Amino acid sequence: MFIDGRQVPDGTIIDTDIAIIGAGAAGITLARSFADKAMTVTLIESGGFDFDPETQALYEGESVGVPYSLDASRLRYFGGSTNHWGGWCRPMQPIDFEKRDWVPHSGWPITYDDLLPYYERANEIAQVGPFQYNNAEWWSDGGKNAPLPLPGGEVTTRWFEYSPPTRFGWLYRKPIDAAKNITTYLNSNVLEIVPTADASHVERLRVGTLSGKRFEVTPKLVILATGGIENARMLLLSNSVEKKGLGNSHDVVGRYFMEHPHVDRPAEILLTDPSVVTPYYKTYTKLNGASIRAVFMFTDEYLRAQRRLGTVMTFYESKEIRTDDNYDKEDPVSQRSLEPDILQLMRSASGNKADGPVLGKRYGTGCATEQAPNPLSRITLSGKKDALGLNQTKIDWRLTNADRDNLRKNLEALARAFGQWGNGTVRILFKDKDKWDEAEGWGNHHMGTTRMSSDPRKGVVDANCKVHGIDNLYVAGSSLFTTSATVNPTLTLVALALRLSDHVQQTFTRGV
Amino acid sequence: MGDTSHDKHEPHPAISRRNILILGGVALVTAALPLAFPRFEPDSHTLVDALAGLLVDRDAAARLGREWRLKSTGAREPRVIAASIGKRLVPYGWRKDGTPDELRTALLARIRHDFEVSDMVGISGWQLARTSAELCALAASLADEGKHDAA
Ligand SMILES: Cc1cc2nc3c(=O)[nH]c(=O)nc-3n(C[C@H](O)[C@H](O)[C@H](O)COP(=O)(O)OP(=O)(O)OC[C@H]3O[C@@H](n4cnc5c(N)ncnc54)[C@H](O)[C@@H]3O)c2cc1C
Repeated sequence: MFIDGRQVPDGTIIDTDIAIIGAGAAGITLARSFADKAMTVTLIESGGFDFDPETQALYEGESVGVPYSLDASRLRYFGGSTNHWGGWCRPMQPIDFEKRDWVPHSGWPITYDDLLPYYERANEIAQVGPFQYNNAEWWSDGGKNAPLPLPGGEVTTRWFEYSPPTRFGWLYRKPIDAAKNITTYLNSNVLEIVPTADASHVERLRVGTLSGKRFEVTPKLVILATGGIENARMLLLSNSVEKKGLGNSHDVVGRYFMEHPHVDRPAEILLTDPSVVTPYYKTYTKLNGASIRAVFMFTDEYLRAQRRLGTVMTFYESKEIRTDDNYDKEDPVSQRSLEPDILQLMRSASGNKADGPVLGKRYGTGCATEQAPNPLSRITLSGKKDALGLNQTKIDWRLTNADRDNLRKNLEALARAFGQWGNGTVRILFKDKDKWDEAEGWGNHHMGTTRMSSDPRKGVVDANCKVHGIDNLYVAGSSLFTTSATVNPTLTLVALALRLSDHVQQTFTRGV
Repeated sequence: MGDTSHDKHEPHPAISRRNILILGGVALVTAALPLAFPRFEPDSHTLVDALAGLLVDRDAAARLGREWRLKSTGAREPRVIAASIGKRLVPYGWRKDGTPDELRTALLARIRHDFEVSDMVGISGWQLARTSAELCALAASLADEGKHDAA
């Protein structure tokens, strides 16, 4: 059942077993998983079924670090940011969960294997194809679509699978509506999570609408699922009892904010023989039950040996390079006129003279890269207030020289791989600057602000996603990520939500 | 003849390329000025030709070589460069009396090795094996001397 919060009488108190705050990918996954189970569920969503500028404006805030857009990078209505996500899906790698001694603050309290069964279910929820992300044989189709045989063991091909992309708010609206035990309150904003006087237990949620209504929800158990930035903001705003915010006795809430810095054309690649490039590298390709795209990633062996963080690189066709191209008006900085020369040099080494004017092809690349967790990269509360009278978010996104250097080193590894192969030369365009105070782009991936750690001094939640020190408050979403890996977060956060759902159901079976 | 200007890192600025050419031939210069250049392997002259012979487009390689020279302080004399490349190729099976195919095989193997150990040179961002860059430097030096006409 859906109820418009604006129609709820002021002062109403709603009793429920489970309150889920936020109906995005995480909240909807959780709600669905509780459908028709022996517990009452109240799903509280800030928006309605459509975009509304006034509600969206509640996401505005201040950016004081690497410039970042707080409101354009997420959507505040039923379905959340999945109303405009791109559908790129890939699980993290086992190494991403490990404590890597060269990555400060790394090490999840769970492993890849803990999450694997949930990843497989997440694949179904996001309507992705078979769970074959690293299976070259599966996508090679008997050798017809072989990945590039890059030697050296540093760079490898892996695959993303695409969700259609699933609009969680559209696809799962009906089953949530039909579930007898779920009531969804739309246009209803949680204003504060109010704990008991000793702050060890959530007592109630204060809820408000932009039209001025105020009511409360009294849950047995709460799951905060308002997105990777808002989860931290909600905890910080919940400060009537704990002045530093809920779950923040160690000043970790909001810290370790991570994104995936995106760089457009960090490198280009010239290939003498474009025929070896399987189409799945260049664009979305339908193959063996999925829509896929191949990317270059860095092997675990390389990451360990070179003490690096990961990068994902896409690869697309850009231009045929010919001897008869006219470079008269070329930009001296781009030095495109050297491209035929580079291809001729490769051909010299292999003794492979071109028959005609076509020498090869230029490929562009794009990349998303991992940044190391950094406590100074953080979400705090701004002094400015939103339309509900709540402090807006202040984001201080930090990228370090080490993050930049890491990407550059990974590009060099890419150059080594293509060079050893002999059919490609990599041109590194990513500038060798000593600062990274401006991101070329980002992924709209908000991670780390309520990170998982078994140590309350280093994380906000434990391995079960439960906030340290509070017995009935859980968090869902990419704010849980201890480290960001390089892949898009939604598949992982859906898997984590499914795992949390199992835990919560067990908790209820035992009696909360 | 191409650009003969030497940058400030030229090891022996007192001996200009023009003077060298006036002395009338590389062999004579080598004999007359034993201290001016490092000693050559006796077959470095043939190696110059053999290496240049591998290039499918010498002009192209020369352009890359010039780009690299803008940044590097490496040798300018073709035989010095060829000798240096030859040294790099020995562990990969190159012999002075080998065939062009053997030379190419050794070159290819050495280039792979350069990439493997990250011995790369950036030319306007393109990441080349050091041996490839040296080959380009050789082409540039030859073009500058006008010894090998553009292919
Ligand atoms: C343009 C774009 C493209 C993207 N592409 C990809 C992609 O290709 N692959 C990928 O993996 N990820 C992608 N993402 C990220 C993806 O959308 C998010 O990871 C995912 O939606 C996060 O799910 P969530 O449930 O944690 O948060 P959200 O989906 O943001 O949902 C949070 C919900 O909480 C509600 N809410 C917020 N505050 C309150 C409150 N106080 N009270 C009640 N409700 C509240 C919001 O209205 C919203 O509905 C993309 C994001 C954007 C913006």
